[in-house]
Amino acid sequence: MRKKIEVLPKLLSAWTVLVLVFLFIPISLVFLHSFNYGGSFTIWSGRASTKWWGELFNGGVMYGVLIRFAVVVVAGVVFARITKRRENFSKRVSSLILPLTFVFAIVLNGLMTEWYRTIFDFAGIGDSIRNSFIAAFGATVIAVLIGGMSGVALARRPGGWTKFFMATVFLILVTPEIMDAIALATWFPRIKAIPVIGIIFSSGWGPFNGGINKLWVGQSLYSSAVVTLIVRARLSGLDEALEEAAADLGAPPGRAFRQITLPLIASAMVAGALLSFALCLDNAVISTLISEAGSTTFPVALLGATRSTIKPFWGVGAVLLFIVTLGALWFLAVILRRGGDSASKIAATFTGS
Amino acid sequence: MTFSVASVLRRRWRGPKYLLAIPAIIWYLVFFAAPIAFIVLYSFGTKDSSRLVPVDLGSLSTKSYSAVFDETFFKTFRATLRISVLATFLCVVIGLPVAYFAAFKVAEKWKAIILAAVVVPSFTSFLIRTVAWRIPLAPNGTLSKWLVGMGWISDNGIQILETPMAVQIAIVYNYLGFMILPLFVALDRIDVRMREASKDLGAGRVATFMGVTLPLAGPGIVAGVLLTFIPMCGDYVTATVLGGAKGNMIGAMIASQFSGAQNWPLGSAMAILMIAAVLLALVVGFVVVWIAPRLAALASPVVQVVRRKILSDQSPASK
Repeated sequence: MRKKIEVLPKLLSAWTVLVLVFLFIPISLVFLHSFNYGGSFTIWSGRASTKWWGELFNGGVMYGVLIRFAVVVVAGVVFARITKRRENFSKRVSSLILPLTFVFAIVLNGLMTEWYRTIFDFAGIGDSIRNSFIAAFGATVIAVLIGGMSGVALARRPGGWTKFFMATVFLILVTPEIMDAIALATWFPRIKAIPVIGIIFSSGWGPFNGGINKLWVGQSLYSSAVVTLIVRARLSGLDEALEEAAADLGAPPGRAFRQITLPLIASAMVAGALLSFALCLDNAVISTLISEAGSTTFPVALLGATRSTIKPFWGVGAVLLFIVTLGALWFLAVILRRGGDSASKIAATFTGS
Repeated sequence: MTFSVASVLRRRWRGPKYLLAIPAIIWYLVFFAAPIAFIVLYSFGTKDSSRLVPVDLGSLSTKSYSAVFDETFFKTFRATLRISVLATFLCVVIGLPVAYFAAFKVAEKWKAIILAAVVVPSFTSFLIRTVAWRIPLAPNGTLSKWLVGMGWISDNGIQILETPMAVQIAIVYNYLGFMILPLFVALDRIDVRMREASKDLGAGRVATFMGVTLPLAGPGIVAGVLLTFIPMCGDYVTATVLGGAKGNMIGAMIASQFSGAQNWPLGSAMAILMIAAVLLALVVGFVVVWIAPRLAALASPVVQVVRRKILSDQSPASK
């Protein structure tokens, strides 16, 4: 009898280890095969080589990127140290500086420079990585803005509308992506015909072409729903007494929002932004159906490349994007941890509840 | 006490409660509801390649729906449902022990490690994860050569790329994490005292699991099934990358009507039938899931014993 009790946890732990190994095998193979010497991504040549990675450092552009990255991050660390000592600076805000610095450094390198184009030039995927970052960044900004606002409204001003809105959010989360993709792909030709708004999606505005604007819209749908759920969950767990106290002390609604509500939800907004960024960066289905020649993202280009022999260089790009995603997830966990969340609560955030 | 300045200020607030949600409402109306409404509309139109929007909405008919019902479509449709149902089932069977282990059997520190190990592969690019399967499944790849060398498979090597088998394996892999997470969250929220009470009342581990843990985890299982089964049915990437012609799925078939064939009415009709079939499958699935444990619970002698004990424990107290 006693022995039986001890068998089950052992079996379960063995099973868990097996499943986790299963989850990691393909990803480790991607990593391994980016070091493949031969010309194919899928067939191991029997010889390891860093030649595909070496391409990153051809012409010295990569050194500039790394230096720029380091400078921004060091500046962020120094700024975080300084603000930590100042009493009037909210602790929540100062803990966010470091992750925001990393995001800023990535965005700065991605938006302001052409390094992707230069170093990935021979493989023809430089533009696609650059487009991926621009699209994911814009979609995340939209998602955080509209998702954050509706999250606050859901938590603080519930009413008859809440049910309908939540139903819409869940509908967006469960609708098969292909449905959104074909709906948007057939919607944009129609939108383009509208006089003023149409220009945004045909010729674009500023440095952003029409295809990128379409990607912003397409990628923002799912991620804004995710941000909405995260912000709502976070804010409804917090007592409204703080905001009421601010109002009692005579703070006008705008100021109470800025000084009380915003710091309270800042961590949820950043968490939502990071998750949204990770989701948008790897969006393939919607992007494939709505992207145009000038707005091909990395997943779209990779999907095209799978129709013939895949070069190991795609593995290098995949590993780079994997590192960025991993960084975003890690900061997400750090932020939620600092907010006092247990592992269970962080897992709940990932499922959007 | 209730008459605070805040409540006075709030009363002065005249705007609608959903004021802050208005941008999102507009966004979802314009870019979610309206486009999908048009897909419904297109499905009743006829193809007209001469226009910019290649659909003639002048005469609405159900022609596309009858055109959908041909042999190829049915074959793909059946294959999609078969792959998705089996994959959802496998995800529950593979994922539930992991979620159970992480929720009940390990310390807080290990919980975090296991969860991180599930999250990291699951939130890595879906496409890259799918493409990665081309490495172990390659007919002339390392694994294939090794298996041939061992004499376990024929000299042709692994021949499952470009077949439904490859899609099946990869789809289980792709969605496993999205099943484990909601399952874990649901199991983790169960009050440990409920399980202890069940055991104190004499229920064995099987009875406790079937009678207490599983019903309480119900919402999580439902969430997990929703989060995996519906996207699976519309999956485009896995079938496109690994399926080839033999392993086609409905999602890829729908997409080809828009990107290649430019037959919007047919594609729209397919998409709507797909959604209808998914909803139907879910309803059938949940009815089965709802009924089965109740029948099993009634039949199980262990549960009967527990029930009698609970009743006999309660009755003296109430009298």
